[in-house]
Amino acid sequence: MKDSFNPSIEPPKKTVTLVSSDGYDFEVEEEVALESQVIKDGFEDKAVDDREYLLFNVHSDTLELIIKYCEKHVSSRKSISAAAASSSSSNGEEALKEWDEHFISVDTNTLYDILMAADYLNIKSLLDLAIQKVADTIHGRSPEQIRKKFNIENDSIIDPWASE
Amino acid sequence: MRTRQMNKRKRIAEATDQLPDEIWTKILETGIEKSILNHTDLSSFSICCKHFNSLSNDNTLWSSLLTLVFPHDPDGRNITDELLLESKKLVYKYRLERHQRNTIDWARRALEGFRIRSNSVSRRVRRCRRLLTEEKGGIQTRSKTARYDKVHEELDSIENENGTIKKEITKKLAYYKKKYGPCI
Repeated sequence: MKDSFNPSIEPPKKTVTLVSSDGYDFEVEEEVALESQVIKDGFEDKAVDDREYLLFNVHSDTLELIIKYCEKHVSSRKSISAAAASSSSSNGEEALKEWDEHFISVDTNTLYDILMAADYLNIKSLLDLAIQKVADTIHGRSPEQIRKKFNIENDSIIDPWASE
Repeated sequence: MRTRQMNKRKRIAEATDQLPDEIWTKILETGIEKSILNHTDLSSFSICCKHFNSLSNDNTLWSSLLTLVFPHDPDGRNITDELLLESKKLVYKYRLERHQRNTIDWARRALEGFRIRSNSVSRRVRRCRRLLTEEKGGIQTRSKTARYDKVHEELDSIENENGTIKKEITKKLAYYKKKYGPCI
């Protein structure tokens, strides 16, 4: 049967379960979970029937966002390389950049949560994205504006060149 | 299997309102590396609170900023004050002030040059007018008078333009004075 060799017929997706700090299960495709370097590093050593990861430092609200990000990036990578293979023009990278920009435009506490989770799970592209967002937020703002943005209390330092 | 309900629960505690120092440092490092943050941003950040102040006083941060902004001499080799050298932030301040002094100096000399040239244009216009008046002393014809008036008009417009340039120079000087202090 010729059909059985057709690469477009994909095998059933393998999934893993991510458990948030507040005890919710998220079932995601293997390749989505492998976006996290930490999960990837330990993946080979884990038993095949033990596909559960307890993420003690990631709240379900944040985990939902992280999974959304990873799923988007996995699927975008595929469509970008598919477009490159068929040498059809694609603005996939541009579109992904825009998506990222929109994704990371969140309130400060959510941004903090994403930063901590991306750091903990070691998802480099997401960590870079969030770090740049914070740096962009600091740039061009007055001390008072920065304090307001990051909920900082003023414990009064006046000379910007002072070294405490 | 514990499955997450679709209805949005109210978020309990756990909300992060502080980042660990390592992440703040990473943010500042990356910001400098990618030229998102400059010394003004770092200074603003440093006077937000004591915690940010100590985070942003890190010598490594200011070293990379020095390398980016003053690539020809990031270490400030000709700085002899040893106390100054202990803090890269102070080295940066020193370099910055020197750079600003040089900029002002350059601007002042450039503007001075323009002012001299502009004054010389004024003098030449006055000389032309004098010559014209002497010339006018001879026999008058209607067409000659008309031509003289034409030349005077042309000289007026030159003087006007020169006046505008002079005003621009004065404005620029005032701007530099305001920006860099009265030392100009």
